[in-house]
Amino acid sequence: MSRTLLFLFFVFQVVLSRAEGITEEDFLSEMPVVLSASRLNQPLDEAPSAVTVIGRETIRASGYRQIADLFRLVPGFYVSYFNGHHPVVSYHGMSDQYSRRMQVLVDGRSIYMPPTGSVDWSSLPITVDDIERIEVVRGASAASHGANSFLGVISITTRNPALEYGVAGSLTGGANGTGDGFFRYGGKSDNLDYRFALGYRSDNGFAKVNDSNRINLVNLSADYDMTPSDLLQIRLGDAHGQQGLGDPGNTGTVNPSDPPRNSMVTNEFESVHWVRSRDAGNDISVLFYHNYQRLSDAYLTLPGLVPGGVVFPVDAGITGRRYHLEYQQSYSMSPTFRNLWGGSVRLDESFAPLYMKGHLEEPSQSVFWHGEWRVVPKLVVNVGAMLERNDYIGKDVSPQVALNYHLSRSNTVRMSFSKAVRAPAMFEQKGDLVYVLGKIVVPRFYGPGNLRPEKVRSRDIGYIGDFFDSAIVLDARLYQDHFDDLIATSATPFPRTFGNFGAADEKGVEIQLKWKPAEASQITANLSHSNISGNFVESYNQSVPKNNLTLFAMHRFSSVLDASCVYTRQGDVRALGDGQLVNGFSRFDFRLARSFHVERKRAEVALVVQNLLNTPYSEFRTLNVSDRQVYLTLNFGM
Amino acid sequence: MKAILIKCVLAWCLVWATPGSCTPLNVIFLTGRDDSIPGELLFRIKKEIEGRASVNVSNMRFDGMFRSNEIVIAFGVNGARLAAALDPRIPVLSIFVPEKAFSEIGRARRTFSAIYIDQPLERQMHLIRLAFPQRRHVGVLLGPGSQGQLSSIRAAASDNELELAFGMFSSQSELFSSFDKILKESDVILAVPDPLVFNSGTISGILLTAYRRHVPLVGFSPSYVKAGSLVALYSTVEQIGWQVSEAIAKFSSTGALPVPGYPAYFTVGVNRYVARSMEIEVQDEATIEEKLIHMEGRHE
Repeated sequence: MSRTLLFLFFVFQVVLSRAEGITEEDFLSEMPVVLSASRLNQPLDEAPSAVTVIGRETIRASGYRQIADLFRLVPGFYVSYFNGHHPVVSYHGMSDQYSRRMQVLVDGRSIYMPPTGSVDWSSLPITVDDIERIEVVRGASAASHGANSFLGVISITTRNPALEYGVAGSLTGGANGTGDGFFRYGGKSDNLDYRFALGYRSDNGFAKVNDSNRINLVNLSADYDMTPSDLLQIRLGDAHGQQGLGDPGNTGTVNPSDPPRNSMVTNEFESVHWVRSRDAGNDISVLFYHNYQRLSDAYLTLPGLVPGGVVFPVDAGITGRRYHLEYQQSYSMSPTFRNLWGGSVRLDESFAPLYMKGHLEEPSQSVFWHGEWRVVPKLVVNVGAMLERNDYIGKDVSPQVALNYHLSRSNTVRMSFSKAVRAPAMFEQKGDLVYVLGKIVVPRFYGPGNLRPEKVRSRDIGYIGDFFDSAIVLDARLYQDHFDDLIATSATPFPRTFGNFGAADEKGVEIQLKWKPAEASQITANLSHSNISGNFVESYNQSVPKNNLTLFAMHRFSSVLDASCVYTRQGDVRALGDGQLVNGFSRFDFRLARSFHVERKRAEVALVVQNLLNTPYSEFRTLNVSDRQVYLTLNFGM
Repeated sequence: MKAILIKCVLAWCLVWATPGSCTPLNVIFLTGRDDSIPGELLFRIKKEIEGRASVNVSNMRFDGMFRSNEIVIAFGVNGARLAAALDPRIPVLSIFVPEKAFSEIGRARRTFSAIYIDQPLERQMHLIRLAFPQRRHVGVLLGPGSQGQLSSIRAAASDNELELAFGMFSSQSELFSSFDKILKESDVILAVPDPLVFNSGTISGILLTAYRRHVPLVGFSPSYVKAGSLVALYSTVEQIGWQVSEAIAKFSSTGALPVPGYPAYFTVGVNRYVARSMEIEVQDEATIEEKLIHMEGRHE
């Protein structure tokens, strides 16, 4: 009996002592589903559209400070600057300073803002250092990426908080008032990973334009594994700053109605994403976000507009808001048949007294389904459709079908057909821009409220070659797009009235070649040729550079020294709206980086010279002269 | 009728009883910390043993007393620890215990056997060769609990013409920088159990980083396949149960337990969704399992 008691005492002791080292718990414990359906990328040669991926390594090596510049590395893209803090990122042209025909997502959140229907790249509450990866879908893709995926989709994924622990930061300084700062801290506690970042961006913009930019931002990401199959992702961001405005006009002289001044910008978002994953083929998710953007721009005109030296107050402020709730389910009947379906409700709000009367609200709803079926190992069929509805335009369906056929392990051909619509932006639909200068009333823009959505019918033939274990990847695409009901303004100047005036056809070719001659080197060549026919008031044909070439090369000389360069050659272009005919240019950007260690932490100093040969050229309009830019970046722990 | 009944009882005794006894063998489970062993797992293994061997699976809490006709199945590390202190006459089969832990605990005892929870390194290397024939650079990330295995991992890799890249780390903050370094030198990662390296808090970062760098991970439990590792090698509860039944049968007939060893039966799990997304072609699970069995047969 005493032996039994002794044993029971020992049991008690063992129960109290927690086993150290490896135990059965390491083998038996449940793990969270990490690579869930929504995190797994479709292989590029099985995607229904051409896709360009810009990874972290390329982002770093490009040396670009502005997120918008990264799209110079994507074939078919036109990146320009309406002013120093107003980048224009457009695909296949037909864009004024507000590029409206692309969907832009950051962690699944559309940052396309309602009043103007464009993206304010300069005030985004994230920096280049926050970005993990950018995926660019070239071609209409509404069925899988939602409303306004008209010409293409930019999908930005920020750094995962589970991948960065500790402190890191960077400081950039250069000529022309260039000064950027970035700091982040990442930590974890049990099943919570979090990351907190602070950023500052500043520069003086173009020499002859009042377009200085000072932005402070903060963002927070937290991933919480609630259970092994439930992940909660929270993303918050806030940017505030001051931006110079005042259109110097084509001559560079002061325009009394739009004098040089400072405006204030605010850009905030909150996003909650819950994902329940059963396994890599099945998950459901609910995403809710809120975006808020505000431009505060109240000013007095200068004397000279009317006789007598009278000045007038103008409030050109714009506030936009978006609430979005989305449900999505991905389920696989087998590894060869995958479904993705879901729906969303959205409310867009706008308050811009100068541009539109009153407080506007635009609710919209959508449902979508996308199926990916591997019929036989060589053939993948992607089929999908989106049905969207909004109060102004009613219902529209955007279907998409693509066949990807693997001729061999290395060679794939793709044929796709899609239809998509673009709902008019609020300003196009309900714009009413009238300058009241005392007794003088000048109507400038008017949206009649009866616009139909723009329509595009796209056909595309693609080829993807993947050789020597992805050491060489060739992606070529021939496309033909037909546009109907294009929204433009009438020729009558007072006011210019929006209407569904235009039809256009665009044909072109895009080639992207990635070559990795050695582990330490990478070369990418992008080539695009485009031709648009169709006119109304403005020439669509000139709105995209006919030929574009980008060469990007990076090489690591040793574990501490690496260099990279970008060569860009762009044809003549005249963007719509306020765009002027600007000549084509060649530009050579260079980056040299040396890393070292400080107390076992990696640090790096990098010198970036943009437009190395200092051959000045104009962006968007002749006044925006871009010349050599030099800056030095010191980063620590990145 | 009476004669037939006596013959049946005799035959049954011959098969299942311990030498010198006709009463059925009593199997009793010993778990150190009940909360560390999922109840469902205990239930499944008991069911498996009952279904295969005519034994009496006791649901009683073990009192530590020696009784003939009784065998103790010790569960997990804590079960093994308790068993190590038992009366040396009590036969103990330790299951769900890592090899390293058992070799530290069970050294002193003669009537102490085990079926380890881990798979032999040789089998893991074979799996890498079969699943990823083009990949020859194996990376392992070792923490304080697994650093001792480096030399045997290195030997197993070199026996299979695989090159080993390894990283050692001692604190959580170094984990990802070490892992990043290993990923640059490897084209497949072998997960080696270590509570500081692989746990539910670190697995997201590890799997995401490896996925983004296009390096597959070989896991050691079914939940790794579910989480996103491309393949995993493990033994299911049923497979362990089968082997336990065999050991009991052997004990019943010979009075001796098998020598401590690795699981004889195993399963290969493949996450087809991850394989497809990474564009890595992996043969079907049954083919790999068959080839693994074949390879082990050839080596014996």
